[in-house]
Amino acid sequence: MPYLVLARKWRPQQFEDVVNQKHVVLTLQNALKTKRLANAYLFTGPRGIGKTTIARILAKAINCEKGISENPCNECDSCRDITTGTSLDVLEIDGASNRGIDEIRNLRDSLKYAPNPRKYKIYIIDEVHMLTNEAFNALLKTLEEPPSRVMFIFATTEPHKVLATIISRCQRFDFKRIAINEIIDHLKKICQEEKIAIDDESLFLIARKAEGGIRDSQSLLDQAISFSGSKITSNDIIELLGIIDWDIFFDFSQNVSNKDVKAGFDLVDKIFFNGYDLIEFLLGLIEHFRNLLIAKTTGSVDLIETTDNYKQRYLEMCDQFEELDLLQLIQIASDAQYAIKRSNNPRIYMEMVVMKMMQLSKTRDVESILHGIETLKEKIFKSSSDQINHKQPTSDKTIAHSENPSVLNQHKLQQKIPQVSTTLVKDKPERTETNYQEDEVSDDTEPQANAAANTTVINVDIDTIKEKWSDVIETIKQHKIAFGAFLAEGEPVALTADTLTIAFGEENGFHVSYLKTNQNYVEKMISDFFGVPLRVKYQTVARQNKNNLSGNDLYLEKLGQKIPVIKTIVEAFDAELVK
Amino acid sequence: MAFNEIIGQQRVKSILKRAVANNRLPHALLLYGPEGVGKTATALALAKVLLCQQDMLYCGDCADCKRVSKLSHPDVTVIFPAPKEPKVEDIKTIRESIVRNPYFRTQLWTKPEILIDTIRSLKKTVSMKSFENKGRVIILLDAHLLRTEAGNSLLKLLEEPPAKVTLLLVTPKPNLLLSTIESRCQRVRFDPLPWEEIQAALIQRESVEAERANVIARISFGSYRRALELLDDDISQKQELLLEILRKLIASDLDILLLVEKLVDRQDGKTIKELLELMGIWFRDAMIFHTLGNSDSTQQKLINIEHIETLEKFVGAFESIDHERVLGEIEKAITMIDRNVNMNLALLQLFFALKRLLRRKQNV
Repeated sequence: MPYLVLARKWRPQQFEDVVNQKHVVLTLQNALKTKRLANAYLFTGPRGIGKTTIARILAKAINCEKGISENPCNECDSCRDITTGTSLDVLEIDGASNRGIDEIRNLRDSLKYAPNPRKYKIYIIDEVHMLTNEAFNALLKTLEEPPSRVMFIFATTEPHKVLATIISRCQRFDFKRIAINEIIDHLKKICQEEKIAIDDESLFLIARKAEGGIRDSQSLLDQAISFSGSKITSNDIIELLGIIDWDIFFDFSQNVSNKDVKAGFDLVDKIFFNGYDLIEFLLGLIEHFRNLLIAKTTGSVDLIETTDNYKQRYLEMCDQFEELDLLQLIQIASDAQYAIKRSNNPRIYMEMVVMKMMQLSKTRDVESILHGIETLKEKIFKSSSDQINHKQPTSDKTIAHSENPSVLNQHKLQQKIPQVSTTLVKDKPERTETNYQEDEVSDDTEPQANAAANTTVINVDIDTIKEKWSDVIETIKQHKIAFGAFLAEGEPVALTADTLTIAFGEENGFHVSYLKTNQNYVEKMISDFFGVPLRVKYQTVARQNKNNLSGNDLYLEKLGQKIPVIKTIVEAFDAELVK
Repeated sequence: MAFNEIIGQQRVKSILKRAVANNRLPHALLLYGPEGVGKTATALALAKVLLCQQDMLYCGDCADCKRVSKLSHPDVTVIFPAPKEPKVEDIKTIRESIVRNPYFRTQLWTKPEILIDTIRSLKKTVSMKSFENKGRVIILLDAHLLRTEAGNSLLKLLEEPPAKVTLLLVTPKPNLLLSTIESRCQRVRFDPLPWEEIQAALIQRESVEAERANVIARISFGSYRRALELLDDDISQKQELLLEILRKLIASDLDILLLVEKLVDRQDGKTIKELLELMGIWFRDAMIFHTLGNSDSTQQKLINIEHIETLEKFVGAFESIDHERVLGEIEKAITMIDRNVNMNLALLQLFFALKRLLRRKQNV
């Protein structure tokens, strides 16, 4: 008997032999059981996972001489004819070669001839996505209302190329890629039947290389068998399939960590003259760094798809890298991928990439730099305050009134350091809102109020009010929804003595006047909330001010809410947001 | 070309020999790997093994094997990419070049493809019984140039061909193939040839003297085809020219203008492209020299080995060079020339960019 590749030898002849397409098989078997057969099926999914196979089994199950059943007998003439491809009623057509309208017209003409009694005429059109537009359209009428006992089964890897009008006339089944574990199980079964000794790591390597296709995995296994006979080891597989030995990646990352450029170049030589595909190497490298990153960030290796031996090594190695270094390495590798694909001399480019990776200076993440700055600041601040303490006896009393700029700075710093994360975000825009059109509070009252603020004891400050403002509104809404809604339009801007100023946009004049007529009520609500007697004043803010805010500052504000670090950087360096 | 005449590729040979010995040669093989490392030669050797009258791995002498060598065996179909209506004599030229040396195929057309009609007629051929009743061998060269329709129409044949039909797909770029084609083949990877093997082959087959063979073998980056191409032209002269260019790069702008003028006047596009490729190699050497310093292991890696002193001086002259950008500029220029950009402009652009990159570092 001539040699038949595994993929053909092991083509399933029964529904139950098909690997992991339960959702398809079950539906089809139920349809067969209840004899509710559609006149057109469309099977889609990636290569090598059972589309054509199931189409053939379905055809057999329908045309089996023992009658339509969930499982074909595979023994009667009809079943055997279909298996060998010689059946007169089941026509398997290569859609890619017979793609024109003429071929479809011929097919339509052939529909006139009825199938054998009690049988279906089944057209299996494989690679149906290659039919031309005209050919598809010529099929439409037939497909919708075919003569009795005619069935179409389409199979394709690219359903998006099939006309929507065709798809809507078919029952569509999407086939799934097959998980590594299931491929391994399937291969194990084959190896048992074929009496092949193979270890788990080899199976894993094959299954991974197959990328979800059963046929791919079978071809690879086949190749491994012809290479090494009845005993297969993982080294054979690595050599045979050109899979890059994962140890190479560990060596490489070790070199990167040691900054051993020479070893890096040696490795490129090795990769190149062992014929490994450079792109494949880069892809592997990206996965390797990604695994390291996962081990580093999560501290566990559950998300890494590899053997236990390597998982352990990931855990051991990940300490040698910083997260950001790994991200950068991944970035370099993925950039290199595109460049190398287009490069005239990929090897030179690869060497350059390796050098770049080796020379990558250890980055420190921004948080730690900022932390460093903070501590530095505190040190400077300490030493300067020491100086001040020294000076104090000699200087006059005014120093206490904070006329000395260093003390002023010190005061500011003191405020800033603990508050950085919470208040900075909020108080920046207020500073830029300068053009208040004071409605009722006159300017000259402010200093007085300031002075008063120092004397009266109020344990509520503007920041807490701002923070709690939404709560305030919620509470007021519960009592009287209109007040709450109106107040929501404004925002608290200043607290002087016991007077809270709430700013409204110019267009909100109606809101303000409504609130003013109910002044007492509003004041009572707010005072109750904070537990301090408060008076409320309103002011109108010119619309343009709000717009002014919408430039860099607004953006910074938004960004700052998402990434607080940025805000801190801007503050620490007195920086400006450029882009 | 029989099995024992293939240069290097021990791993590939042993895979295939074992498959033949165990009678497990699959019906569809994908032979892939860089250009000019012996894929076509291997495909022809396999055809001989399959059709040989004496059933021998290393025959190559019987009538059938000879006919395979001449591409005149009725049961061997060799398909290569061609334009839509190729001239008969062009096809003949290409076939002859394959017969002469399977490592080197004449390229006549700019954008050849394998068309669906070719595959259709192939299918007709395959459906008939073979002449010698030993089976048929179909060899598709540059299979990545199968047009999408052609590739798709090959699928059914590739998966379940008639008995005793073997398809050998040869390609340097397997990732351009349809994944459905890839998944139907068993893949055999070819490696670039170590330069020692190329050197030996050059000496033995083309009777090149050892010194020159060494230089060519190093520049060929593992491709015997490239080595053969390099045989025809005078490498050392080009390297001299390259050195002259490099020297001029740090001279005045006017010198560069004159240099470009001269280059474009005297050299054709192909030579200039090769010059730029040499330039890339030069900078690569400079990079290695700079990072590793002068040592035996460095010299092992260098390609411009006979110019090592100049290289040392060159590296010394510049503190450090941004190799990424230099290589990027060179590659850009090569791509531009490939796309028929005005040669003058492309070179000027490149040289001024290089001047900027080199000069800047010198000042540091």
